[in-house]
Amino acid sequence: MKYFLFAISMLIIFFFGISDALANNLASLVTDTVLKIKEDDDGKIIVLKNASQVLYLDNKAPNFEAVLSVLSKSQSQKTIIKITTDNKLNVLKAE
Amino acid sequence: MLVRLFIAITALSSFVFAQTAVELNNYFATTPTAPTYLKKTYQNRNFEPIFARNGQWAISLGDLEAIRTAIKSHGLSAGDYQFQNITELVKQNGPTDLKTELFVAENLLKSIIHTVGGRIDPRKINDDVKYEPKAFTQWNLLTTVSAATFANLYNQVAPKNKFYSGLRKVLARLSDIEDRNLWVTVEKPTNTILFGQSHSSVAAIKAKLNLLGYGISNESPLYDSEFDAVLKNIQLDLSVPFEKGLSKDSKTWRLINSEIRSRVRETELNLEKVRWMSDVLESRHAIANIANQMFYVQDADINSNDYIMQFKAIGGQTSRRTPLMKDKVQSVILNPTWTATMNIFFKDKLPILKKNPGYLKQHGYKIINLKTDQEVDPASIDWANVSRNNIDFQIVQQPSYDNALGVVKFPMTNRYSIYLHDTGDRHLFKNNYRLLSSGCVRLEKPLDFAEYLLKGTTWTRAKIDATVAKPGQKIEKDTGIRLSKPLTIYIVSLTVAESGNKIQFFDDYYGLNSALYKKLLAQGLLK
Repeated sequence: MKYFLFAISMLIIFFFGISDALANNLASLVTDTVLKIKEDDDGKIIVLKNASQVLYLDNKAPNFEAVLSVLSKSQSQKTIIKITTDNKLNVLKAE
Repeated sequence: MLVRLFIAITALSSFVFAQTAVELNNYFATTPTAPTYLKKTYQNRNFEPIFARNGQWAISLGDLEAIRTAIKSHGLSAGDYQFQNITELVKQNGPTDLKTELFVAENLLKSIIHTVGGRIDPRKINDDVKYEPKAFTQWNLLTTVSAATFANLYNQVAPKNKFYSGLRKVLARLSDIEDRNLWVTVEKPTNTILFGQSHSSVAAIKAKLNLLGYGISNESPLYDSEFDAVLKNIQLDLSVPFEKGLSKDSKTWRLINSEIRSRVRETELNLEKVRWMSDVLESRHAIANIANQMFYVQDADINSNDYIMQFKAIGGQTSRRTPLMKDKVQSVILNPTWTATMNIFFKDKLPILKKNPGYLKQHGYKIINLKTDQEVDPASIDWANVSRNNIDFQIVQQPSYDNALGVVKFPMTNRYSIYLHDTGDRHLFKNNYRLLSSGCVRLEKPLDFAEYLLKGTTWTRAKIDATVAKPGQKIEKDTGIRLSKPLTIYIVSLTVAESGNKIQFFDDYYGLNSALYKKLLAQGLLK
């Protein structure tokens, strides 16, 4: 039975791919302080104090202004915040 | 007796009128869902009705005809404002009440507000449009308006800039051509018509182009030098390469034989786009028109009638479009650095670097660590394994004549990192088609523009020229100069223009006309 379910799952993924919703479920949470916010054509590059990788805030993100405000505050006040990203390191939420 | 009768009639009529005003007042007091613009209009005029008084129409069929003409002359559709139903009601001349007043007011006042700010929120058209919706502020004009003077309102409230007035003139001319059936279909030649040949279609084309104001001196069938020069001008307007002769499948031919209705519609859509700009343009401003890839600077203190400079521009590719918006230039940076954006780095630069790590040095780039801002040795990077998930640096091209931004940059304030600049690829200005950038606007004469912006400062043209990098010269540092008077920039995509007596059409490479048209249709407009 479990092999059957596995095969069905694989077939679904093969034919339909992983949906955005599922991709967002693969989101990860980063807890860190924003060190720098750099300009980029498509948005901002978020450099964190401890994490080795950078994050991206897309201009087209629906909550761009609100998220940027939280990130800027973390940078100026050197406070630790929680940042949710998708699997491509695009910032989805900051609090 | 007569005095008594007069008093009775006066009392009765003022009672009926007062009752209408009272009814309007009560209606808005008890109807929170009433459109705000309607409520505000009546509040400002103490709930005095406009179109119906004392149980009778105050608006005549003549007034309505004047309003219909005004709506059309501003590129709006009378059908969008229930015009046929209103006309029918007035024609029937039945008794009026609160409902009839409100029905007419709601529709006609909406047409006034649309004349000023357009019919839809521009940001809802697509991601390319960043113009903010314009609020209606001219309530004072509505306080005293009557049915008889309502038609005058359209001209009073309409934008007062030259683009708007120019397009209205174009609309009137094209509508006249359409109404008089002057725009005939020209028979397609079987082969390309070449210079020196005679063809019956050439005479017909010349006649059509003269309707657009090209002023061709003869309408003979000969493809002569004057006709050739006109065709070349059209090809420039359409941003297509110059052609040898006139081929039946060219964009030039498609323009000549396009439907006049579609050109009228295009002009109406362009009027809508101009409504996104300020009603009165700043006395100093610049326009980057993506449709013809040209840049214009206006300064009323120097020349109130014409642009003080105009030159070619390069706009964003159709896959990386320049957003349309109003912004301002606040500073000038001489000898700028250029930081490759992440998209450009991964798409264009990384594949090169995997093959040739020496590329960075050859083109004047430094690698800068994002955390420390320190320079990184290219040899320390494993290019084969650099990815979006582990990149911790940016590549920054140092100031030089060949820098991607050229020798001068004009930053703006928008959040999309769109700015104006010179370019290292100066030869691209030779192209008729110049939608080639990654979104920023490149200028053909950036040093002239810098000189204009810095006029009155210590930065004379001689000093600017002496400071900017020359071919082969390496400069250590950029120089930023803050402007005391920022310059407003409008980035637009206007595909119809009036130049002297000539009506010009540019290609709609971003498909904005079509997107706007579809959006208006989806809103149930353009009836």
